[in-house]
Amino acid sequence: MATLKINGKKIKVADGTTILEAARAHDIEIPTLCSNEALKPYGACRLCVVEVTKNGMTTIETSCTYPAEEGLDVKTNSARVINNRKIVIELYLARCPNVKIIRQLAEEYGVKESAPQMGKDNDYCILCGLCVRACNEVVKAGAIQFAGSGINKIVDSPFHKTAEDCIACGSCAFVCPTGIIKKNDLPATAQCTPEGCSPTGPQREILNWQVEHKLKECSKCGNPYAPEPHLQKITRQYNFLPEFFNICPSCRQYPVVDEEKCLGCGGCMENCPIGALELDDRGGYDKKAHVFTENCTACHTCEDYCPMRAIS
Amino acid sequence: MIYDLAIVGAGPGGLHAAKWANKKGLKVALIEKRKDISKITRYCSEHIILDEDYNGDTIKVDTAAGKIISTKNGWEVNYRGQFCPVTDKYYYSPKQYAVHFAWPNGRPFAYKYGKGTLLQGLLDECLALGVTYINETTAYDVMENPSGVELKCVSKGKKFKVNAKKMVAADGASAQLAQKLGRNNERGYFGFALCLAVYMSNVKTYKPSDWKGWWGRCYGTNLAPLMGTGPEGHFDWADMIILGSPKEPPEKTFEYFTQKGPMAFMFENAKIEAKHCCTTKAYTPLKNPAKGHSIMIGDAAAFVEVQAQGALSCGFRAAEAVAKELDGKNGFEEYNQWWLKSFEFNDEGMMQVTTGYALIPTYTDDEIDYLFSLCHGHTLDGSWSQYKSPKMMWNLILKDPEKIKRERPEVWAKIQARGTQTLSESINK
Repeated sequence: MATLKINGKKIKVADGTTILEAARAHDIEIPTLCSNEALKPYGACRLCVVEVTKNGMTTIETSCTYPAEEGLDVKTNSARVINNRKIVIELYLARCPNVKIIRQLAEEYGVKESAPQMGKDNDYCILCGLCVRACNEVVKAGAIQFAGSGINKIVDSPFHKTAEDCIACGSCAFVCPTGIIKKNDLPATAQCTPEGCSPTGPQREILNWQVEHKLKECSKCGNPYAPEPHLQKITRQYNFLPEFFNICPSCRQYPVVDEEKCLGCGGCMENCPIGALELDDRGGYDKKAHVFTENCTACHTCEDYCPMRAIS
Repeated sequence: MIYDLAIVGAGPGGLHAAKWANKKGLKVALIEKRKDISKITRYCSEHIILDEDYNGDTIKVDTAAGKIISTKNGWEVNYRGQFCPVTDKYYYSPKQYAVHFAWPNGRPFAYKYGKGTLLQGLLDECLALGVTYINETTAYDVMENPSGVELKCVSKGKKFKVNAKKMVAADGASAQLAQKLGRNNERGYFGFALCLAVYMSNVKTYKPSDWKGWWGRCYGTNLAPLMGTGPEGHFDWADMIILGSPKEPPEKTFEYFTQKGPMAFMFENAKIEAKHCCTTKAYTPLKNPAKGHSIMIGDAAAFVEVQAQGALSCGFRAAEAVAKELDGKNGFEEYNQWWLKSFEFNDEGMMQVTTGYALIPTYTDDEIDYLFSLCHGHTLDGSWSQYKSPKMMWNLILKDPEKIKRERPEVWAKIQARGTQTLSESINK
């Protein structure tokens, strides 16, 4: 445990917490563009700067990377902090004058004029790296990366060609704060050449990475619901049966244990990928599988692994 | 709270690792899904195998003193329950030709014991030593970081985390934690089997000292039904073991085998006393079970299973490996080398034998009758080993190849195709 002050308020936090996390846990707002709870701190956008006083010395630090140490005195909205943030916003405004979130920030902080042109005009990417990090850290696909350096730095697919490792999951588009990653789900259509037309099923395209993948259609409701390579990756990762994703999440139902048949062997919970099944021990050999629906994704893996066919 | 070692699974491997790691001065947390491990509902055949040099060890059993002793790995486990000697093993063909395995003078090649009693004994020792025991808790996910591991746990629906410098995953053949660490990617995966075991009294021809198996499509399944000794306390019950899959549920096969099949007469007056079941996955073994901050021990790293004695050895060695590793020495590398040279399934040659094991559907019932008739009347060495037994059997069958070529050329052609591919080839097919 560590005790520190944020804006004069005494706060106790667990070891390993960052200043940003500590502040947010106590409803103290710090703006950020590159942080995400699912990703490691990165410190790229510089918006989360705060004033940190440690051992009598005051410095400007990025709160997302700075650990909440014992005895710190942190100010998140001092004049010096606001001034620093304004400069950062001004630079963003110069780079991306048409991005909604940048314009909102500028308005909020009263930044009207942008800095002199930096050689980049009307860009939409702020190089926060959220897409690259989500793809590497969470999806673990490693399909996109930063390319170039200095003012030529961009996010791109390898060699600016189709990203071979992209599974079209759309995580990059989901986390992008500026909305520059274009993900479109296209309905079934036909592909036409001078020789004639052939029908194609519903597809997802991610224009930025030049990727196009088939969308899986649910065998129950018929709705296209996720790109096939994405589902194949999950199937491999969690050892689902190949047929598992024939049904979409909305058509799934939570497993029900038939206690008459269940012998309590635990085959279901041994193979549950997320620990949603547990064994209810009622003494002696009387043990029954129990589904905690709050943790269950209704994947029905347990159903296959039940020797007594007691789960349906 | 950061433990020196987190162990997942209080089976023989996990408990033994906990005991010895604690004795070496480590702060140990043992995580177990079940509340009470003395009443085992996951089926297990529960045998101590006495085969010489089986999986790198020769086990001695002192029935009077209640001790299970490893002569090569150097551990000793107290066991306060009963033992039942197993002296004869029979494989039957459809027309009841038998392959018989036994030592002279009724010397046992295995002992049936009670796993619940064994585990409870080990757990009591661990608790007395001061091991932190976190039961009714499932460790469903694990992350490795530079300083150790973080286990995601759930108990009665509530999630929490356990942090440790090292981890021993003794979570069994389903190998969930190995899966989460991506370690199963290097393994071949065969699929999973569903197993049903029915304990029955009043089974005709049943003898507690026998282990029997029936090969032939006429018995209702490609996976031979087996009959072994009943559970500790009820050695007079027969243990009928049926394997299956989601498409071929073992319960259906059990009904067929005991009511309609050629052996139905054995069960005319039989009474079902209890039923247990389990699910088991078959992966090829992990080559480097100790890596990063974690060791996968026992079934979690094995080809199907290592048996209780193999798990006890793994736990014993893993405790040593972790203690050395935390001491700055290369304990993990030592563990890997021990693992590779000890377990028979790590030897491609041994694994090749198992490809010959698939008698059905390769051979028709009539062909199985013919092959078994070549063994009928002989007694092979008493052995439990799933590698040595088929090897001995095939050596006997192939003693006179000219005879088979002459009498049954079509069977000879099938035998020729057997064993030409290694296991890794047959998996990659």
